[in-house]
Amino acid sequence: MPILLEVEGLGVDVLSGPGWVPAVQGVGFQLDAGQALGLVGESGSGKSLTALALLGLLPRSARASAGEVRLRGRDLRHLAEGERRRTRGAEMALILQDPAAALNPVVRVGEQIAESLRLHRGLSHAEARAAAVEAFGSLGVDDPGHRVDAFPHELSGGLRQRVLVAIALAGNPALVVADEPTTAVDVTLQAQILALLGERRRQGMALLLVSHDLSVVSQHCDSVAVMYAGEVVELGPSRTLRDRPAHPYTAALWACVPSLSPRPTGHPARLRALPGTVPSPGGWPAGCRFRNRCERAVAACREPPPLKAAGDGHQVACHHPNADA
Amino acid sequence: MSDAVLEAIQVRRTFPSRGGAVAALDGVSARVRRGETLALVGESGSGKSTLGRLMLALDVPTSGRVEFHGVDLASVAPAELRSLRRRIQPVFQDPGESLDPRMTIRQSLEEPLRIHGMGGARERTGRVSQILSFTGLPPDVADRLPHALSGGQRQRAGIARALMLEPECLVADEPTSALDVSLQAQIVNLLLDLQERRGTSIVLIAHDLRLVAQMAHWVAVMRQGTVVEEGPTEQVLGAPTHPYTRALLAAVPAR
Repeated sequence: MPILLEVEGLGVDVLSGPGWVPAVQGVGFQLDAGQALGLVGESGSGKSLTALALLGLLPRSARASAGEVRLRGRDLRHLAEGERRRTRGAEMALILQDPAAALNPVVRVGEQIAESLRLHRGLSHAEARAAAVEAFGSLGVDDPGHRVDAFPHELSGGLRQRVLVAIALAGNPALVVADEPTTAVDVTLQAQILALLGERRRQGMALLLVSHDLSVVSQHCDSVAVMYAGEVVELGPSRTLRDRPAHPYTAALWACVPSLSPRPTGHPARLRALPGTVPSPGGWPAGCRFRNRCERAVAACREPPPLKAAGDGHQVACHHPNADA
Repeated sequence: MSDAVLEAIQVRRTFPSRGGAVAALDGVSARVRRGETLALVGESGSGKSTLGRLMLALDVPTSGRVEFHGVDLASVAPAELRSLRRRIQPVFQDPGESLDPRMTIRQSLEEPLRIHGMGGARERTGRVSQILSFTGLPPDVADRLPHALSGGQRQRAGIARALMLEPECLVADEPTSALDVSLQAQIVNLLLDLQERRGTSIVLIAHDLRLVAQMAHWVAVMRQGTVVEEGPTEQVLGAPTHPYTRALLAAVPAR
């Protein structure tokens, strides 16, 4: 049985002024049934483009330039659009950050969930409606039989987000790609959505969770790929990247996450901020792309560092990784 | 004698609804002292943003009162209210709400001064440069439009605008929830610097308890229009007594 998802040498170009410039280069990872992989990085790291590219959903301002995306051994990049559309939803589904943009404002939410059930599971209208109510209820919505008749604007942001999750899960996809699914919602709802995705994973669904928050990803994924300026700079088991991050960028992202633990002084404490921002596609420095923001940069960093094995399933692209890693 | 800068006292705010009135706030009291941060936490629908609007004098309570240095905001004459509002400024989640997309950053920053008839052209220019440097923005940002800035720069510009009138108090509604962790850390540090140097009071409305742990002196946990638990940050987050506070804490991703 081939591995569920294999991504190899993936490249994406984006339109910048007059021409195309690379925005994602040489990205590769694997994801098997029931596993969760986190894709982490700041805005501009290329994590969302990577996610959209493997679903074949890149916007017009971007194009896949290289690489292979195999789902159960089939290369998705060479499927006809009709077949690719059938694959999406039935085999792989996307949950987006912004429910307002993804829902049709003039169609009742129950109908939007039911539509995907009819499409992917061949249910009749009556069956699909009953299943939509059930799907909505399973997401912890009170009075789902009544709420499914609401229009998107009549629901809170949290409920709209749950509608999107219900639509994505309707076809029982083998792989769900969730791009910042919980950024816009409360902590309690965030925990609920992630718990629900976790439950589906125990039934064999694979999850690719895209987020800027290492702590969320680390808690809900088996492994994590950290991206910076279009490349994977570190990849490995979540626990390894949490306890012994080797790449200075991974360590810096961790340092930015505020901690819940009480401050010893009782006074507000500065966070260890990572200065600056990710350079834009077309403006990447030669050599290690992180070196301008890196505390550990040395002369060798003017050469691009290859992604090298650093132990059990752990890879890092750095000439001067953290010593205790 | 209370040392509160801004204080809500037994505030109730109801909104009309199909089945009668719905109370978004039902007898809430909370205060922020000089140079300190009060965090209002809770889920959406808890009333925390409604309370924020009352504290900005953008709305009036149905009953109870909001006092600024002991003065009931609902009792002052419109002209005086305008000058009080100058001293309490908002910071929004989405800086798009405080920056006009057709105005350069300089025009957006000067606007509050012009509205309040403060300073001549030269003083305004000087003040813009000063605030840009304080908020860590490069000087050439002044002559750009908001869309030409990065997300982090726009949020800094939103804060810069709030600071133009040297407010005593900021009401910040989810100031970092649209930002990456790295930009969040930069904005948190900026707000802490401001507080330390100017003694600014901050009302922080947030759902991320980790952010609250980092910034707040005092926490009020809100649920369905009431405060269910409040106290010093170390106490509320370190030894919560209300089950709802414990549930919120349990939902926070662990390190």
